[in-house]
Amino acid sequence: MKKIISLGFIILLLLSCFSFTALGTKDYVYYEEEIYGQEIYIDSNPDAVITLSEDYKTLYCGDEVYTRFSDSTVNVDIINNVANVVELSDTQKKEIEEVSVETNEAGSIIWADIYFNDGANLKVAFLNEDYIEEYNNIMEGESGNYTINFGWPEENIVKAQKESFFGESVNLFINQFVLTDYFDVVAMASDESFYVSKGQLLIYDDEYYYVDFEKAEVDSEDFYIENYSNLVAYKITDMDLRLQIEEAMQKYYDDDLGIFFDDDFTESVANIFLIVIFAVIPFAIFVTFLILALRSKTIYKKFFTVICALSASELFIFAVVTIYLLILK
Amino acid sequence: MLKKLLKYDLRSIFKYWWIAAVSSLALSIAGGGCMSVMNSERELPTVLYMTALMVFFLVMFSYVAFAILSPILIFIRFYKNFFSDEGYLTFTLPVKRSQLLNSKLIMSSVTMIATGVMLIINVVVMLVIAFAEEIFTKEFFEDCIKFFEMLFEKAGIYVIVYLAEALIIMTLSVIFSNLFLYCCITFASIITRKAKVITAIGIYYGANAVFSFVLQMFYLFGITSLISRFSVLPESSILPMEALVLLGIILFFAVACAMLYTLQYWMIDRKLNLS
Repeated sequence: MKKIISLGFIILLLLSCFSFTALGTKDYVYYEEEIYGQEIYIDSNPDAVITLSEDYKTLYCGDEVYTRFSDSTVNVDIINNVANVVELSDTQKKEIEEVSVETNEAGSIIWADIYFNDGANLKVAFLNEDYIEEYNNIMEGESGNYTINFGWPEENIVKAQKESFFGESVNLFINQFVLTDYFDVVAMASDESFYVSKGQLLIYDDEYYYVDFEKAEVDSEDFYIENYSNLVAYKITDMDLRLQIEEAMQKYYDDDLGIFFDDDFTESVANIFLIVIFAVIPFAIFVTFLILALRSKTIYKKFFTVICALSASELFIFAVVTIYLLILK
Repeated sequence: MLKKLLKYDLRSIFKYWWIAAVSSLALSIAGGGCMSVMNSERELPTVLYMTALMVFFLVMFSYVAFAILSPILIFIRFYKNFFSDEGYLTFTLPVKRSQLLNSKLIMSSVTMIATGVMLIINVVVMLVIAFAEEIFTKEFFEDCIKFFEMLFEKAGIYVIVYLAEALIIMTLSVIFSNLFLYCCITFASIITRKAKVITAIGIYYGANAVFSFVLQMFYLFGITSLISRFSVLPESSILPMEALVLLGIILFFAVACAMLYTLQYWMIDRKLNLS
């Protein structure tokens, strides 16, 4: 019976270790799936076949037509692998070794990664023709609305008319004030299937500034506010937008879990940890073994006395260091 | 009497240990040769390169095997000598229980330290053979001397203090891990009659997981806090303060070792029932 219990205990221990590993792996796999999506059919139509024109400027998927476009400034949240069959023409079969196809969630953009027999590789983006007009509007600055996604908590999003971002024009000196936070400002497609970064919202205590990439003449793909000493920016004066931003920032900092990422909280936990490990536990040991030493008579008295002496010394050192640090503070 | 006990304990371990040590040293020499072949600027045939790579992997594997061998030998020696049929003889010897325990502790600590030193020697030998041209140069020795000069210039006598404290911490941690292993084996022998080895391994594994978690939390929270506090100290007091903190850690380890020793002694003295 005892043998079975021992074996059961060990199996339980091993299983618990494996389960931690499995959970960890599961979290990782789940994270990967969230960013890269899963394998899907475009328009949920498994029968739609994908074909490419000979000049690789057009892609057909069933009845949908996609035109090649430059997507260097277009962003999407999730990329899915496409499970639809890709059919190549006889000429293409002679040139192409493999084609892999990806799409965004709404299927408005398709990326084709083409590997040629001679080792060359071509990655092409295609935009659904229904979205071309909207895309052109966004790229030419004709889009009506801009969006700011604060990211935390979920659905903490501000949407406003483009004009409300262009308040008072200023030459902003970046290091003059302490930058509290910054968030991307984007122009989104009507179905939110893709978006283009248009600028950045800078939060300085009570003031909000908008840096438009085009007006400031900066590269939107490689923009880091720390790299600039001054920029052309727009102080946001529209009261509605200011109010929306204020509410969003309130939610951003007041959420229930935010406290756990606060520096003060981490320092408090660290202090508690140090005090417990280097003061509370040694003190408990000192008291316990002092009592035991006083009551023992055999060789155990010596052991308990040694433990008492060591823990008392450790407490003394801790006290000296703590008092010195407190005096300095 | 302790010397005699120690003599036989060390003999029982080192009669296997030295074979593994010499083998790993020989493999290190071979590994050094393979590394120099792989780093060679000449174009080598693929077969030769692959053979050198395989031998190098074998050398790495031998280091791991050698590192694992020591705890296994210690485990076997302790278990056989105390809890198998041999235990009847051991506990009838005219020696104190504390001497038996001290002998095992000294034997295991010496073995672990010797293994660590041997592994370092193996790595040094391999690197010296592999990078002989870069190491045995005037510039390299001059850089080493400059490094030590800079170290003493910055920290002065505290270099020696820190080194001594680091050595004491390492020794105490070796003693702690050995005592911890012994406690797990003894506890398993007390609570079970059969399958003592498996139970001992299970208890060791479980308790180790708990300790590792506590240690991780300490590194996550405690160390960061300590470092941030020291960043505000004036320069003149950083060195003595760091030495004091290390002393505090030494005493903490010493308390833990003393407690484990007392527990182990108590289990052997009062709780063990060999009949």
